[in-house]
Amino acid sequence: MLTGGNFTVTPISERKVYCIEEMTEEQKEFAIATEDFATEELLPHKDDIEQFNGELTKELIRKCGELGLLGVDVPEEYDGLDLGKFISALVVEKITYGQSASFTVTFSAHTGIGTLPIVYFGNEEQKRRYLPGLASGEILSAYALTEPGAGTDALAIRTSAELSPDGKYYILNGNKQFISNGGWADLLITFAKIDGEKLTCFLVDPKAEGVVRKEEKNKLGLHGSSTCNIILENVKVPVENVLGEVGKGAEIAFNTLDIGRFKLGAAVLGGSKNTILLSLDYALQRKQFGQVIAYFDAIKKKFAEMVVRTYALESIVYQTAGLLDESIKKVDKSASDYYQQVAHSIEKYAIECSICKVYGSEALDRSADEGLQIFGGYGFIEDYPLARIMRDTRVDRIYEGTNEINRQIILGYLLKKTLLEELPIRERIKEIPGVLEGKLPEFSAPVLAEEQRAAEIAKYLFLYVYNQALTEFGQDILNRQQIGEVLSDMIIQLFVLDTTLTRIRQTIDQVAKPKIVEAIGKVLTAETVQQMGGAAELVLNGILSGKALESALQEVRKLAGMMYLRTDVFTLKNQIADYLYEQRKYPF
Amino acid sequence: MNIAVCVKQVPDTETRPKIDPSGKKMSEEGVKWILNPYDEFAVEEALQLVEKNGGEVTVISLGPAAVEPTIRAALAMGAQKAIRIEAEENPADPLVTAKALAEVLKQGNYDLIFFGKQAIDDDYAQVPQMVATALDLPCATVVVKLDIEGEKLTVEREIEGGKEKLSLSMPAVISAQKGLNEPRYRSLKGIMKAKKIPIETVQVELASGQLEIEKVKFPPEKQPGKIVGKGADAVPELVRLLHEEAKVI
Repeated sequence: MLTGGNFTVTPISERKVYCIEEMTEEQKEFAIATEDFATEELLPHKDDIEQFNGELTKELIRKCGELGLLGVDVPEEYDGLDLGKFISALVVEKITYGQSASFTVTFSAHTGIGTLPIVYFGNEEQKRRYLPGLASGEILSAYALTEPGAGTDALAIRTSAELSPDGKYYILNGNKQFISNGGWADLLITFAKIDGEKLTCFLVDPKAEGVVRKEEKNKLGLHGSSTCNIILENVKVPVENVLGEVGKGAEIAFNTLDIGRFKLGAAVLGGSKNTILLSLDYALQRKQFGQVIAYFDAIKKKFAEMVVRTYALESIVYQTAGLLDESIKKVDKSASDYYQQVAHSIEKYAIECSICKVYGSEALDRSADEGLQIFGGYGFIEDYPLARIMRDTRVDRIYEGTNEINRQIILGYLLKKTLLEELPIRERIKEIPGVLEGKLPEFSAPVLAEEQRAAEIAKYLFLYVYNQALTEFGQDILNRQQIGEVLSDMIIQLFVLDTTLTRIRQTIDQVAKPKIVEAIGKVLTAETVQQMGGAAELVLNGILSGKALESALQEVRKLAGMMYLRTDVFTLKNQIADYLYEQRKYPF
Repeated sequence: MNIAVCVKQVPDTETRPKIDPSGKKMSEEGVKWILNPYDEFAVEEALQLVEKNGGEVTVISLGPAAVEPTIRAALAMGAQKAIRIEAEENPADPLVTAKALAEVLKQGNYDLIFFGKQAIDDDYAQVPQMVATALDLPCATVVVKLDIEGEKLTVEREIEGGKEKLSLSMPAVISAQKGLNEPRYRSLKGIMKAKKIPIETVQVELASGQLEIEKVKFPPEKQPGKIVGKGADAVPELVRLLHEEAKVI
């Protein structure tokens, strides 16, 4: 079943995931090479970058270009490497080992939303003109979509484009806001409406007359990255600089965002690993009450949970990367609309991309918060590293689509796939009465059998509640945002659980410490299913009433009862923390 | 120019060493392996010479198939050829390694043979000199600067308290020290290219070692310092302790 969201219906025993343990030698070398560059070339500059040093940042971007790090998604015929999404996620993750979220943002804005629209929608001439420079870092790119009145509601943009009387160029007028790389960019990928309605993408030279870059924004975090407003005042853009087709701008905007979201997942994964590393450095040195604080039970819990979250995030990011590659590979390379088809094959996994963004940004947010807590009072002081991490990650929940809109996207796509029957959701819903009678195949997996069984029941639990919500509200469920968010969270939890447990099952024979990996799976499952059970009941209370509610609650409690585990998460968290302390960094 | 660079796979410098249950070597469990950092200077120098003068660089390493990622790392920097000398494990005796390398090197007709000045695992710093002796070639170790004019080689090497300038005739054996150059990073393209280069495996009969490791152990844990007093009054006690306890004066 080759489409996104299938984790909600495919039995966990039949799932197979992409994961870093199964990388080829070459992929491992790409990872090491990028990591070496980040720790030796970026890390020593992290404080200089933070001082808003455009020259230095651009120089480092060019160095990335020399190593091929900017060309991972660029086709070979335009001086790229065309290595696919798995490598592109690896590269972004390892770039963050430079411990400068600002640099990661400059890098990602350039390689993602600043390059991909041309890769996917550019014509031959545009690709030849821009892609080699984008891959080498000679051209730094910025993506300018947002406007004062059009943030999350991206289609509401008001920038206008008017064809000149001689038909040679469009005249753009408007105000673009919060543009990452805006102050430094050599190329703007921007959007405007022709005749007030045809949303169209334009490639604009920021040096052109009428392009005014406003002052740098004074941001909460990411002080080393450029973010400014850009005013377009009667800017003449040659007609050959229309990217894609007139009126098809939305397609470009949204498809690019899917990739941006998935890559943000990779970036916050690296950020999570940094957070563990830096917090651990401190916790293993700091003594209170005559004891190294890392060894207090409450601190062990924090580190163990950071590891569990990070492992889960790593699982979903690389699974999504693999799915995207698999989907893209199926497109016929000789097709005349190859890249548009590629963009559509990415859209198939919009749910997974959004989950990477939402789960990832919230995972890092939580880890940063706990990391700062471990530092105690020092955490609140800017001389220590956690304050910056905390400030820098706050925007992760906002840009590339707020987590709120992404939760809508997750539920919205599943709804669409349900109604169009792209996924056999209705058939699975019909199985629920049987499950309630205990008809669930036994799991004979050599590892985490009970957990996988619980994850399987969790799918039915979700489908039960989802079905009730659909019956009650139909498509209007999207307007019931509070309930919708709970349902979205359950979808996220299913993907995280399913993917992480499958990864463990698949790789348990190859890992150095199977017991620890198993402990991660156990903690994750025990805590997740418990949360899902509670969430399911709350949603029902909001949908049903009276007798119908009582009987639904009874059924949901029965499912939940079958799903809850008898796991001693406390002992397991101790084991996970002890192993982390031995390894001194995120150990997988 | 025809240049050979002999490289070794070593544990990452950030490895937290553990002793193998045998007590005779470091545990290899969970170790991340890297190209010996001094060898990176050797590879870089060879690549720069070939880029300037033409020719090719051959990377040579001794060990099991597990050392191939390290050979690939050198290829990814830009070397053109690679040879792995089959060996079950790294010999404990540097002389065994040197003899095996010499055996292969003498068939290659190399103008220059580079090494890192030492491997950071066993820190012997013996193999380059031994190879030079076996091949009857001039040798300069701990080299920080190298110039070539015709057949003549001028090098600067670090010595205690200063630098020594030598001139050698080629072919010669050089061991590289930090400062000789700035090693390049492996590029993604380099890695892809390296993957296509076959690593030639050769069999050499290894000499039996004359050196055996009996035991490895960690240095004793550092004892906490002691404050013996303040001012001139404390000096006699300090001298006594340095003489009688620490036995350093």
